[in-house]
Amino acid sequence: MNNHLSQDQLSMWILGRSTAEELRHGEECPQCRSELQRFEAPVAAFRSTMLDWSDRVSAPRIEGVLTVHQRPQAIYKLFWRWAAVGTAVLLLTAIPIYRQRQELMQRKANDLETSQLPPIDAPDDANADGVLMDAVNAHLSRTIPAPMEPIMALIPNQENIAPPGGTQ
Amino acid sequence: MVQEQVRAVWSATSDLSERQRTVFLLRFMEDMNSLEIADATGLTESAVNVHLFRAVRSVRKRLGKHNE
Repeated sequence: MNNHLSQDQLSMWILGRSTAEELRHGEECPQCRSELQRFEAPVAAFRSTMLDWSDRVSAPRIEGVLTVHQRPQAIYKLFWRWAAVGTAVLLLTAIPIYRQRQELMQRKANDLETSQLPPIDAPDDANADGVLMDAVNAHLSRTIPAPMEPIMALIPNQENIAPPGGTQ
Repeated sequence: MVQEQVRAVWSATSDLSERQRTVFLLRFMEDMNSLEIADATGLTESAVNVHLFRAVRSVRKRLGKHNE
C-alpha cells in the first residue's frame, strides 16, 4: 500500500474493522501511526482519568450501601444469637425445676395412696381386742349364765324379801 | 498535557448526539464490542457500527482541530 490511510480508513482502523493490509499499514507507516496516536492518546488519558474518578466517587458509595444493607443482617444475627442463648438458659433452669416438681408430685401421690390403705396394725384391731376383752370380762363376771338373766329379773331382790316367820 | 487531552475528549464527546455518545463511551470506556453495545442499548449491531463510525470520525475531527 503506497497511499496513506484516508480519514474514513483511519476511523475504521480505530474501530478494528480494517483489512489486513490497512491494519499493517497503520502499524508500520509513521505518518498514519501519528494520525492514529492523535486519537488514541487523548482517549486513553480520558479513559484512565474517568476510571480513576469513577473509582474514587463510587467506592465510598458502594461501601455505604453495603454497610446499610449489612447492618440489619448483623442485627438479626445478634438477635438470633442472644435468642439461642436465652432459650438455652431457660431450658437449663426449667428442666431441673420441672423434674423437682414431678418428683414432689410423685411423692405426694405415693403418700396419698399409702394413707388411704388400712394400716397393718390399725387402731381398729386394738379396739376389737378391747371389745373382745370387755366381752370376756363381762362373761366371766356374770353370776348366772346370760340366758338366765331375764329370769333373774323376775325374782325379787333378797334384801326386799321379808324373813320367814314375820316381823316380831 | 493530560488534562488538556481529557478536556478535549470531553468537549468532543459533548458535541455528539446522545446515541453516538452512548456507543462511543461504551466502546472506549467499557471496552464493549458492537454486539454487547447492541444488547445494552437495544440497537441493532449494524446501527451500533454506524453510530460508532460517525462518533469516531466526529471526535477525530474535533481533536484534529484542537491540535492545530
